[in-house]
Amino acid sequence: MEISIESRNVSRTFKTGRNSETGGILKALDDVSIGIRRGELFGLLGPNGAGKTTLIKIFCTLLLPTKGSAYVSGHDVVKEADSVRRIISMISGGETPGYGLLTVAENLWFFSQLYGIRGDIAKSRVKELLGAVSLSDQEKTRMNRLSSGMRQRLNVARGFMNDPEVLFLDEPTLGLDVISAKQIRGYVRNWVNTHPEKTVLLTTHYMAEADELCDRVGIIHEGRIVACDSPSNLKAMIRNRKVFQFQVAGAGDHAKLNAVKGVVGLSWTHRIESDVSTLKVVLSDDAAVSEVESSLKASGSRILSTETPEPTLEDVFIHLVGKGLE
Amino acid sequence: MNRITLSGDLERNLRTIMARTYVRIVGAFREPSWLIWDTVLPIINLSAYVYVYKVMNAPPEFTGFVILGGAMIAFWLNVLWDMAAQFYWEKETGNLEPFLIAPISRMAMLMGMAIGGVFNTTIRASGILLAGVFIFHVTFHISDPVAALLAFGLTITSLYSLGMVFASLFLMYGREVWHMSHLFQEPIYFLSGFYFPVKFLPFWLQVLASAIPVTFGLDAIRKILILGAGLQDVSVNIVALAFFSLVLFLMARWALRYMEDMGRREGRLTLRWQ
Amino acid sequence: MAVRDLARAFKDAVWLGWKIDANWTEPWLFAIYSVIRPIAGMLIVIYLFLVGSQVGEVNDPKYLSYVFVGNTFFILVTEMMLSMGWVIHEDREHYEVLKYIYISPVSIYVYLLGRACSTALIALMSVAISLLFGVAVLGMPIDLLAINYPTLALSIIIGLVAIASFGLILASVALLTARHGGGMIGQAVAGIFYLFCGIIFPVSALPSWAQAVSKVLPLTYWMNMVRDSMFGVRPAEILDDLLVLIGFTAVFYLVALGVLKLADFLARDKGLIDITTEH
Repeated sequence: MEISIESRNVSRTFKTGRNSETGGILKALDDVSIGIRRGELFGLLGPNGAGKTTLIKIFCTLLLPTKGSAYVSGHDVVKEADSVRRIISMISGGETPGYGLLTVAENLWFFSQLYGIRGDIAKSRVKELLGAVSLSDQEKTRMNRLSSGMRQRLNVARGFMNDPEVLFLDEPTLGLDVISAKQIRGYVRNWVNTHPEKTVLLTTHYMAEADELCDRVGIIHEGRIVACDSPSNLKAMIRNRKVFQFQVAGAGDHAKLNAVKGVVGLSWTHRIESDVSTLKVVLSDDAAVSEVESSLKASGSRILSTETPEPTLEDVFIHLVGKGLE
Repeated sequence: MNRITLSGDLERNLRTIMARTYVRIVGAFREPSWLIWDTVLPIINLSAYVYVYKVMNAPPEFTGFVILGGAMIAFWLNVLWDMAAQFYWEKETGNLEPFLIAPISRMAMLMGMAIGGVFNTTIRASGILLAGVFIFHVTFHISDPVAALLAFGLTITSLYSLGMVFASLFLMYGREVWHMSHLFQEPIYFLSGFYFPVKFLPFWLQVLASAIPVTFGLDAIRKILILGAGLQDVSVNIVALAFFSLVLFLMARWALRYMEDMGRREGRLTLRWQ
Repeated sequence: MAVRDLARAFKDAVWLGWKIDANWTEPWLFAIYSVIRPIAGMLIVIYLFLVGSQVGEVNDPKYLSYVFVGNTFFILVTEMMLSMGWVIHEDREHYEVLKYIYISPVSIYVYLLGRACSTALIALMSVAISLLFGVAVLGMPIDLLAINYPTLALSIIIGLVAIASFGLILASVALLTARHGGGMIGQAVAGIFYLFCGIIFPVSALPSWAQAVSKVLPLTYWMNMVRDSMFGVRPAEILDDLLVLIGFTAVFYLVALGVLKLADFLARDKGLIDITTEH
C-alpha cells in the first residue's frame, strides 16, 4: 500500500541556553523512522515533551530535520516544501489563529483564499464546516467574542477548509470540553472513513483518544519511537504482563515501588476531593502483587480496593517506559 | 461535500493578496481609532517642523518640503509597520503557522498587508497634504503628472520591496528586529531629507543617503510638485528608482526564501516571544 | 494593599519593563541602538536650524541651543508615551498576560507606573548620551559647568510625573482601542506636546488660540524650567514656572487617575481586557 507520510532516521536538535541541564543542546527527536499508509489514521502517543509537535512541524515544513529525511505523499519536506503545502493542513490544539475583529465566517473565508478556493465554493464550504463544528449560529459573531472552546472549534473548521490530502492534528482536543472533544473525534473518524484517500497523523497524550480513533499508534518517548502497531496488537504485547489497579487512601509518593521485584512500571493519580490515589502497576507476574501490597502497607498506605482492569495503551506505555503518560 | 480543486499559483496568490487586504481594511473600519493616531495627530507633529522654518523666515517652498516629507513618512511607516513588521505581529499572536504551511507566496501575503495598509496611509498622506494647502498655504504644481506618477510609483515599488527584505528578518528573529525597525525611523528621516533637501548634508552623508531609495523619490517628487520640474529634470532620480525597484524586488524574493530556510533550520520560524 | 506590597509590585513592574525593553539583544547592540536613535533625532532638528539659517534670515546661535536642549529632553516624552501607549497592546495581545495582571492583587495603576519608570530610566540614559554627544562632538554652545543641576534634577522629576500622567491617559485609551500600525499612538500623542510646548520653537510663534493651549499644558513650563536650568538661570527666576508646573501636574495627574478608572470600568464592562484586535 502507498506510503503517505514517511520519516527516515529523522533527528532534530535545538540549541538551548548554555546553562541549561542539557548543556546547550536538546535532542527533541532521535532517529525516528515511521511510515503511514494512505487512508490511515495514525496516532502518535506520548507525554508532553516527547517530540510529537516537533515531528509534526517537520512534516508541515515549519522545521527542518537536523538529520534524516521526511516525505509527504512522496514530496521531500525540505526540498519540495511548496508541493507539500498544497496538500496538507494542520490543526494545533490549544491555538486559535485568526483575526479578532473579523467574524467567524470572514475568518474561514480568509483562510480559504490562501488555498485559492473560488468564491462560491468557499462560501458553501464555510457553511458546511460551521455546521460540522456546531458554530452555524456564530457565523456573524466576531472572533474576539467567542469563548475559547468556540475558537478551538473554529480552528478545527479552518483546518478542513482546503480538504487536504494529508491532515496533521496536533492534540486537537486539548482544552475542549467532553462533548466538543467527542464531536471533533467523531468528525475526524467519519472524515477518514468516508475519504479513504485521506491520511491523518494525530498526536495526543490522551490514550483513550488514540485507542478510539487510530488504526495504528506509535508510542514516542524522549524523541524515540518505542513501539508502533495497532492498539489491539500493542495491548497484546503486555498480555503476559499483569496490570493491577489499587485504590489507596491519601496522597503519597509511590515511586519507591519501582524497587519491588517484579514491578515493570507504575503510574498514579490522586483525586483531591476524595483523597484517594489510583495506583496502576504493571507486573512481570502475579506473584509480585503480594510484594506490592506489603510494601504499600509498610509505608502506611491503606489499600481500599484492588482490580485487574483490561490493559490500556497507558499500560503499554508504562510497560515500555516504566512510568505513566501524565 | 464538493471536491475542492486548487487553482493555479497566480490565482491563489492573487486571492491571498485580496483576502489579506480585506482583513486590513475591514479591521480599520470596525475600529476607527487610527483616524486619530494615524491622521490627525501626525499633522500636529509635522506642524512643529513647519514652525521652525517659519521662525527662521525660510522661503515658503521649505514648508512644502516638510509637508511632502510628512506625506512620504506615512508611506515609509506603512512599509515598516504595516508590512515589514507584520510577520512579527502574526507570529506574536499565533497566526503565522497557518500562513506558512499554506501554498502561497510570502510576497503575496506581504503585498496584501501593504495594500490594506495603503488605505490608512493614503488617508494620512492626503490629510497632511490638505493641511499643507489649507493651513500652511503650500502651493503644489502638477506641471508634469506623468513624471509625478512615475516618480511616486517607482518610489513606492522600491520602498515596498525594501519592506519585504525587512519582513524576511522576522522569519528568523523577533523583538531584536522589531526594535531595530525603530532605527529606520529617525535616521532615515535625517539621511533621506524628509524635512530638508539632502543637498544641505555634507557630501559623505549624501553618498550614504543615495543608498536609500526614498532619498531619490522624495527629491524627485519635491522637484516636480513644488519647484515645477519635468521628467527630464528628474531623469537621474527615475533611473535610480527603477534600478532600486528591480534590485530590491529580487533581493526580497531571495531574502524571504533564505530567511525562511534559516528559520526552519534553527527552529525559530514560528517561535514566539524571542 | 499595604504600602510594602505596593512598593514591591512597583519594583517588580520596573524590573519587568527593564527585562522587556532592554534585554532584547546583546549589550553592545543595545548600546548602539540607544545612541543612534536619539542622535538621529537631534541631527534632524540641528539640520533644520542649519538649513533654516542658510535659506532664511535668522541665524542665532542661541536658537540652536534652544532647539538642541528642547529636542534632547523631549526624548523623555517620546519614549515614555511610546512605551505607555504600547504596553497595554503588547501585554494583552502578544504576551496575553494582561488579564492575569488584572486579576492579581497588583493594581493596574501601579503596574503601569512601574513600566513607565523603567522606560524613564532608559530614556534618561539616551538624554545623557545626546547631551554629551551634542556638546563634545557637535560643539553645542552649552557650558556643562554652568548648568544648575539641582533645579534641572527637580524639573526632570516633576516633569516625569507630568509625562507619566499623560502616559496613563494614553494607556487608558489603549485599553479601549485596537492595535493599529506599529504602536505609534505614543509618538503620535507626543506630537501634541512637540507642537504646543515650545520644544523646538518659541510658543510665541503659534497663533493665539494655540498659545492658549500651550499655557494649560504642564510640559510647556517643564521645558522652560529645563532650559533655564541648562543655561544656569538662578532658582528664583524659575520659581513661577515651578509653581505652575507643580499645579498643572497635580491637576493632570488627578485627571489621569479619573480617566484610568473610567477606562478600567469600560474595558471590564465591554470585555476588552483579553480581546484580540489583530487585523
